[in-house]
Amino acid sequence: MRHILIIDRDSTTLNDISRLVTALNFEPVVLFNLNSQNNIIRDEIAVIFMDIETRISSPKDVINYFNSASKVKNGHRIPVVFMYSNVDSKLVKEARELPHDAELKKPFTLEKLFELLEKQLDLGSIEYEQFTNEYRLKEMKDYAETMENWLEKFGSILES
Amino acid sequence: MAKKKRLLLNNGLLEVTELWGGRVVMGEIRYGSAKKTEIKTSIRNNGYRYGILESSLDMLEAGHKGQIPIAKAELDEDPGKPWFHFEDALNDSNFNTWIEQGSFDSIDFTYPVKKDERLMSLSQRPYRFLRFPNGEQEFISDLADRDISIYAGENTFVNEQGSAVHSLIDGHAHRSIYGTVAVYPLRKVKNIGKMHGRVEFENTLEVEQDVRSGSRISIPSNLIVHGVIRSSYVYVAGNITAEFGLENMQKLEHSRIYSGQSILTNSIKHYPVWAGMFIMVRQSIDHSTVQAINSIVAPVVNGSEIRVGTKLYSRNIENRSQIYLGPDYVVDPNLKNIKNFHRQHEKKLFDAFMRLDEKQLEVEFTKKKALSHLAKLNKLSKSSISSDVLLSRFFVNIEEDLQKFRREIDKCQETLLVFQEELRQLNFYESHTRTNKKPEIIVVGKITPGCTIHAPHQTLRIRETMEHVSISLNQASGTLDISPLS
Repeated sequence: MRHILIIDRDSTTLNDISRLVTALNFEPVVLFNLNSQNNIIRDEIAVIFMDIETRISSPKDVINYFNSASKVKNGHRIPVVFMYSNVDSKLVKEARELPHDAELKKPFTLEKLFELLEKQLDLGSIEYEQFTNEYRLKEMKDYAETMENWLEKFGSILES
Repeated sequence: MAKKKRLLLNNGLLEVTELWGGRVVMGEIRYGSAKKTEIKTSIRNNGYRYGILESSLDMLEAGHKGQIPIAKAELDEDPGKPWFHFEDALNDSNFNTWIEQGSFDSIDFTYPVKKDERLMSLSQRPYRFLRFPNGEQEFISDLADRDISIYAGENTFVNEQGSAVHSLIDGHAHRSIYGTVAVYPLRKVKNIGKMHGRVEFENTLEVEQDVRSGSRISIPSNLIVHGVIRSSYVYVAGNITAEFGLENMQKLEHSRIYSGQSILTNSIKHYPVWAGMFIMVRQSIDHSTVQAINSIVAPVVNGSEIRVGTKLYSRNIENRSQIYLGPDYVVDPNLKNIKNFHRQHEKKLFDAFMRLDEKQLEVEFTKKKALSHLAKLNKLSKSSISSDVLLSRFFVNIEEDLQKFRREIDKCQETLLVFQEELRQLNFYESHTRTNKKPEIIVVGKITPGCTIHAPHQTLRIRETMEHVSISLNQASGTLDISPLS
């Protein structure tokens, strides 16, 4: 889990979050529309930051896509952080009804953002070993092995 | 709780905030403005010397409002402590004895070794650590399984236990400035001259008489000359012993001496000389430009420019000699190339991981499509699933994608190995050039007026004769401390 998903159009917010998560050795991934969701590997995402006022995609759809009951059952639940600037907005009020883990009111300082990330990513328990190239390569090798096993099973279905 | 510091700039205020126990440092210009160099100096003076994010400093200079990460902790590797057994005699106690007695008779930089002789082993295992911006280190993991063969050069082998490097042949050993140890067989010649053209033997070369003017020697091992090296170009990866001196009386433009390790000679006259470790001169250095990463010992330094990383021992320094003291003044001429290669490999590695990410996405995407198609077919009979053309096509696609993915993994592994070896070499170079020893000039006789001592932040012009002094470099401030010799 190395990616921090950011769903927003505001360049200041995108830059601020990207700079801080990069300094924390995570990789920011920016999403501008729902169609590109398919190009994201769910298991790689550690936290989702979403602006609930931009109308890029509905918060409900995003939560259903990433944290649907079946996905949470088979994997981990991804923490979702809602970002907004107008607390009285109807969109904000509606979105708040949905399950989410934290809120971030714009504009925010990087210090405030860090406090939030520290809690959501549980930075205290992070092992730095996972940021090494060897670890990354090992992850890729493990993935290839898992996929080969899966492909074998898939092949046996076709043969039966 | 975030730790904050306020740093006053010439025309503004920089607020620095430490987060995550000091692993990330944020900076914010609270008011005013500042140039990048001023910000950099200010944060360095306040102890943040590592993991500086240059692009963030550019942004602060450009007037970025609000906080921005300016430094972060980085993973680094300690190459361990390699012990080069054939250099056992070159220890601190022997070195001090040579200095005290003023005799180099027992010094031997030729390092003859026998077949199977142990050349090198690790006296401390390599480990990975986290280097905080303020220089503190946090142990991360032991790298005991790190292959020692990266130290093994030509004509050497790693023993079965993988714990030491041994010699494959009888010959002469040397180590490079980047820690690789190698052995080459001896080749004797009577003398070398211009008529021999470029001399590029894969041997340790022993010259019974002189290396005459206009010669060009380039060898990967040690050079032993029983006479004089005169006005020649000499590039030697190991050590040079020239019993009667290095003389460039003709002052030929191409004449220069490069030794990857140490030089032992009688005198140096009008010669540009560079050495990766020690230069020991029995008599004097005259009107030469001499550089050594570690130490130089010369009874007399006369009208010369000396650049020395750690220590200069001398009796007299005279005739407007210029001394540059400290590791910043002596850099291996090849270091830039090695760093460039390393940067290229770093980029290649980054690209390799990017390609792996892309390939992984492709595999995942096809898998997802195959699964959703399978779900559609699930209600049908088994036979219709096995005969489904689209499903078979998905199978073939995933198989091909996986093969490509495997090939990318192999390429990435190769690049990673090269990258790691370069990193080990650079770390070795760094740890051997940035020793804990305080850079110092020890003069047991006198320094005459007209000589100059250069330090990063101070230039000391000698106006009156100084006798029996030690001039040391205060590395924190970059200035010089002068004290009488005890």
